[in-house]
Amino acid sequence: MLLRLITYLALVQSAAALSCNLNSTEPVVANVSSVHDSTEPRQVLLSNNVQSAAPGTQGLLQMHSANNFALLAQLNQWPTPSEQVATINAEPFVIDTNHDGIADAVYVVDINGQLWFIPLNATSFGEPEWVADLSVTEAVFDQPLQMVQTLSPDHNGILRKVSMLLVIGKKADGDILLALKHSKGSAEPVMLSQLTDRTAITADEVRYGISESLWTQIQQGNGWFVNLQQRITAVPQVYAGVVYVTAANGSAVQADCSLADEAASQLYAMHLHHAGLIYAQRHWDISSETSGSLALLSNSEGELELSLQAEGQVQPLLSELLAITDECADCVSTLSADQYPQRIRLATFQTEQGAH
Amino acid sequence: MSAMKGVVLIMALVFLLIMTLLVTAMLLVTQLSHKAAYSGQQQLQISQQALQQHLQQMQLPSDSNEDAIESMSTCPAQYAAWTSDTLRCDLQLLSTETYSDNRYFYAGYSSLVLQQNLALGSH
Repeated sequence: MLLRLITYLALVQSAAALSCNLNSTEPVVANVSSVHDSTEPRQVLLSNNVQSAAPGTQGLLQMHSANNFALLAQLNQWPTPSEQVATINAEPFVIDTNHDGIADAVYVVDINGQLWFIPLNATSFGEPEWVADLSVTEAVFDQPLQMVQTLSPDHNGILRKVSMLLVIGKKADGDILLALKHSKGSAEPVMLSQLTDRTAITADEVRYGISESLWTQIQQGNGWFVNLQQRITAVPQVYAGVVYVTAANGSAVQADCSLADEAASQLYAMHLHHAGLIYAQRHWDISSETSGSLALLSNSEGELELSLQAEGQVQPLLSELLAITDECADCVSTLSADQYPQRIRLATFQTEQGAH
Repeated sequence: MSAMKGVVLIMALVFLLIMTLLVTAMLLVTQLSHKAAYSGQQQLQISQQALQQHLQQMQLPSDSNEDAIESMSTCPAQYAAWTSDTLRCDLQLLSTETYSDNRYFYAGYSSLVLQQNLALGSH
């Protein structure tokens, strides 16, 4: 009982200190199929507890019409023993699995780290699927979810389509960044024990690259996590298979995620599939005068540049970017703007004339 | 006697005519079969040439022969993944046609192509 009280107090105290909030104040916009006309999609707004102004202890997800804000559907009964989940403060992530411009599902995470996959219909939510239980981390999950659709090697090394979710948990001593794989129809929820701890990388890995056994372990598992010991100050972005995120010491991060004067902040660059090294270091100091969102821009010479962007201010962080390749676990290639537009031949067929 | 000579002459002429017809027909058949045999080879050559031109065309950035079939809302999954909105993908149909010099032979190829473009801001 005492332990519970201490944990609760610690959580409340840490939640108060962890004030940097990267969520948008607006509900998430999604295109769903129209009820009457199947060709024309219509827009709906998805609101969590914060946007629905329902700050209670029960998780709530609402779907409103974008035209008149009429409530179309809401999800407040979940397939848990108590039929409830904790408050949902993190921005949900809408996914379009078949690339037709119509949202197929939404990922949400509650404040305790229960991650859900909820199919979307024209006017309702489908049966939620329990994706992961990250409550063991004892972190607060109230930062926006990020997701990329990727091809990830399975336990046989064969590339398979998965959704790679990037989840941020706030702990008292710093944030934890988790990357977990989800493919539709997974039977069991992912537990923290199925993720590989990549907080520290060995000197051998720095010198020779990721070891074969560790790479196999990650392929057989469901992802990885990194304890950053710092606060994340920008929503993670994935460019050419490299996860970029900025972080700074917790005491220096202010409520709007900006930094106190002359505070040092760091840029992390990690391999999407195993959180290993891409550049010479996995993280390094940046002289961050501005805070803002990470963006990939082209500079005046037409070269690609990773920058921090906020209210008209742009601060370049990194040029000479690298991309991962699937030839080996550590293989990288240079990424430049002149490689685009890139064409991939999907199929070629010969035109037949007068053939029967 | 003279009637006999006439018959022989006619017979000889008829024989000559038959022989000429036979030889001409044989020559024609040989030529035709040669043509027939060669045309297949020529068609193969033109198909090969057309495929080469088609693949070359795919490397060029020009978009004169393409029809954008569909603009995809998100790019297909790839190993080196991108956050949505940074990479834009279009499906295109690229068609090329090639004729032989005498225009008797023709080959055409079409390809379904995924074009990836970076959607970048600038500063």
